[in-house]
Amino acid sequence: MKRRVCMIVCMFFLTSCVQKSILDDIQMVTIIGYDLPESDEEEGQTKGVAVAPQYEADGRIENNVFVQTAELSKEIRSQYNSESPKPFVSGKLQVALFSQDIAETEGIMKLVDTLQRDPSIGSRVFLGISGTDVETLLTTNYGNVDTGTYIHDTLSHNSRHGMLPETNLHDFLYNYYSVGDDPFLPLVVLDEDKVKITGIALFKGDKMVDSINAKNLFTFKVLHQKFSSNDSFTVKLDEEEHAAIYNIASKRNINLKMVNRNKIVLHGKVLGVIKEYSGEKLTPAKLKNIETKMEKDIEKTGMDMINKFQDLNIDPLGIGSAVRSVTRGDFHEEDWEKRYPDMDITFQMDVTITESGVIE
Amino acid sequence: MAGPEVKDQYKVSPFLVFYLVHSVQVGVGVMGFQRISAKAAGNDAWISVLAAGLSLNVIIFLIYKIMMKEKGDLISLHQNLFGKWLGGCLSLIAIGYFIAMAITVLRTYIEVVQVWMFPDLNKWIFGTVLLFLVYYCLSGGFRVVAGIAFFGVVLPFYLVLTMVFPLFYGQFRDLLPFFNHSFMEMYEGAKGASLSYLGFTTLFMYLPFIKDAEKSHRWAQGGHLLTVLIYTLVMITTIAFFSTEQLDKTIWATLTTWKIAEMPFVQRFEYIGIASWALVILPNICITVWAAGRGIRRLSRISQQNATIPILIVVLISSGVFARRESIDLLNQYTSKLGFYFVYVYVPFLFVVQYIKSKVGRSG
Repeated sequence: MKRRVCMIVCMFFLTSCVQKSILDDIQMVTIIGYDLPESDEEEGQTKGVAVAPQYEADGRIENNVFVQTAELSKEIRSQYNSESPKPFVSGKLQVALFSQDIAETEGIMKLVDTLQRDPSIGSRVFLGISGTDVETLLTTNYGNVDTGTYIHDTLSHNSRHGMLPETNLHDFLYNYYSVGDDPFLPLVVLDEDKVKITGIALFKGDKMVDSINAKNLFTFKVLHQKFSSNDSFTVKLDEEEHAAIYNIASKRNINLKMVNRNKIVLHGKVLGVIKEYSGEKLTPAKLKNIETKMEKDIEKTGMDMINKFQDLNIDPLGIGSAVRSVTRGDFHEEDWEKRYPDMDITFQMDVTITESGVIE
Repeated sequence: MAGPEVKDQYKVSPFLVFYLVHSVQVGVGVMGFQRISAKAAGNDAWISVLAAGLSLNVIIFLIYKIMMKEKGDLISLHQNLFGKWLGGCLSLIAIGYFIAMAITVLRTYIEVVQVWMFPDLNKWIFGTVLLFLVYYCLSGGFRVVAGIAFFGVVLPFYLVLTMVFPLFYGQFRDLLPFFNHSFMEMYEGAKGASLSYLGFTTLFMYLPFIKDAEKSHRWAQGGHLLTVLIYTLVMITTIAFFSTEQLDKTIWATLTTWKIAEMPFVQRFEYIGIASWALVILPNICITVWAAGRGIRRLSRISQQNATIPILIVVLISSGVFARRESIDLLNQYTSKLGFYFVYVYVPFLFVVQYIKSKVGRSG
């Protein structure tokens, strides 16, 4: 009897006793953008733009845009609440965009901090840099879709099987905090009524210092990580003759045997297939020719890129962290940063074309 | 003082010791032990965790050696070795330690729920509800506690699978170079990991309740080895998933790795994970409170049922008193330290004293 009473009492108490959030009664922010304020008197503050979709009964999706300026991003949120009929929640956040201005001048870490601190925000949130004014980018109507999901999908499919290397909140934080790694984020602009990825922004610490153009991203990905995707590389044999090579699998190796003599060799390996060819006939000799040309091209852009990284003393390729992994004893970041610009880094490429499509 | 007489109908099978040992170890520690351990041992922390774990196999061996000779529990052992008063005092300290463990577990779990899920959760109500459940389990006696331990291991075991998600993001290069830390750093790392291994000292209290206690030795070792295996794997995953400084800033590394999990039916996996964790916590509190209650029952004439309620009230009130992150952290640290010395210093000490006493006793 005593037990039964105890159990009933337990059941009574085991019901919820916290605030509940019903889906129809909240504003679910899917994308948030940060920019510098326009007027000078608001200096030191941040302009936050939040978009919360509203699903109408007739299938329309309305994007509610909220713009506020304040010092802390949670302060911005409480200001949003003051002009919204429903409370804001951030559990469904998919993308956080930062304007290029803010990334170049103030750095983004103090804004990323709130994303990292908030347990309701996932690690898969995409971060990005906007080349266009953030407010314009987020107020644009991209058709009957929710802006956040739209931009999220654009970034997501491109990093899964397109030109972007994988970048989300976790990757950014990992690279930011890691010794011998520098973060990078995708760079997007508004292209009439679409969002276009124009490349990636390179960071030193949390400040953007440079960018890589979209057409060089293939090389960057080969240099950066193992990947397989639908990204293609165009080889120009002469004025008339082009070939498009799709990457099937690529691999990167860092040879650190000679690191004591300040020499590092990067090996890239690409397995590809020809998807398009504008010449007459693909002979084995021609294939060989295309392979060599592609190797040369990638090596050249790759070397330019590496030299640029060394000049800026940034390390988005994680060479420092690779060196750390073979260094016995303490690895000093400052020493490494002094050594890195003068390192003799060479890049060797190896392309193998396995197939040339279904016709000869 | 002779060991307690336990009727056969109150005893449990030896294999349940596997679950009793494993479930009391895996508790709140595993949610965030990585940071503490990696603070000193860096990317070699997994070696510290593994070494700490394996060294405890020896301690479990010692506990069995002691108990097989004693044929009783910690209370009778204390009295036989140190006499009525000193032994009684030591027993009281041990009881205090079991209660402190229950407090730590309850308070840390409530903190996790508050931070990760419901900031406005009332800790008093939640604590009361959970402890009601604990009381319900305890009122069924040790057999029910052992059953809860079994379910506390089996039901939430699927959570091990969630460690697959961070693997996709793992940078296993972070583990290199191996053995890049000094012995002292590794030792500090092992010490940091010890809180998450503690609790198996409750063996001292419940061994008389095991049928053929001797046979349960390998089950105890097995349960502990499973813990070691899980912790080492979790540690390796964590080191690969986070960069060193990032891990240093992450209070609950295991929970943060869940943030990367993506499933079609749920946006945030932590909600499921933390809710399932209640099942991991339950046997933890049950076993420690049972051990404390049993201790009081053996020391005095109070029945275990009557001792349980005051213990639960003490647990509730004292866990409610800790309100801030720092004080909870401090609580964790002290319990951890106390437990560390209990297993590594006190258990070998008991073994030696018992050995000497038996030699002297025989010759005299």
